[in-house]
Amino acid sequence: MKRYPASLLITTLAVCAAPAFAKGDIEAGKAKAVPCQACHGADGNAADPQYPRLAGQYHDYLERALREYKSGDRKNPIMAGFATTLSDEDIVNVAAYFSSLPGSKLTDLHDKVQGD
Amino acid sequence: MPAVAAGDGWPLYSPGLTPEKFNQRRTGTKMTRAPLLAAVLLITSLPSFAADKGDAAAGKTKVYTCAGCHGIPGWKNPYPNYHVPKIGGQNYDYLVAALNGYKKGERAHPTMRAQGESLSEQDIRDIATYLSSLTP
Repeated sequence: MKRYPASLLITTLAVCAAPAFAKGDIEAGKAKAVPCQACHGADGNAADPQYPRLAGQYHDYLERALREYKSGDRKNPIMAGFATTLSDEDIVNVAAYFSSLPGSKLTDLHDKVQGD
Repeated sequence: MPAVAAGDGWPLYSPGLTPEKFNQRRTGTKMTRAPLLAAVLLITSLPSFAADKGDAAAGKTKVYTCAGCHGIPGWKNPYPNYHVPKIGGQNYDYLVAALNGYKKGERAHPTMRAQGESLSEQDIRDIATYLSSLTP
């Protein structure tokens, strides 16, 4: 089993393992996020103003929101229905996926307040 | 209602025609659906947000407190530890629903509940209008 150099194997493992540990598995999250697209948009920028835009949102905030919908700390019948089907790992992955989406329309309020 | 008599123009072949309908046609008093249709079109063509949206300029002043946390790139909620969300550019209706959710205690977050409770419905609409107008 000396077909691949050990350094390549180590690099591959490091590259694959590091993001998965820190921010979840984006590809796995994408697979789980198909039902989300109906309301939150295929690109995560919901066109219907009653649903939030998720593309580019902080992944740990999205995780928090999904856990709260699941636990009932946030009361929303639609989101409770979806969030209760997600495992903790799914939540981390789905949050990582939406956070990673390009074309975010979200921004913080830095320099956007009267007087700035 | 005047009686319908022969010679008043009653058509020879008139299935379904009643004296009432005949008189309405003859005198021009028949109610048509046109005014109703016009009213429905007028109401549905009005922008649905016209009555709901707030004042963006007022909102820009009212988000002063929000910026204490949401205006600092990468700012984290202290405990539990996670980033406070980016709220600029978020959708209007969702922002209104979220702020009302905190206000009513339907979202469990003590700081945001206190903020929500300090806001009037007008404040919420103004803030949501301003925030949703922002771009990255």
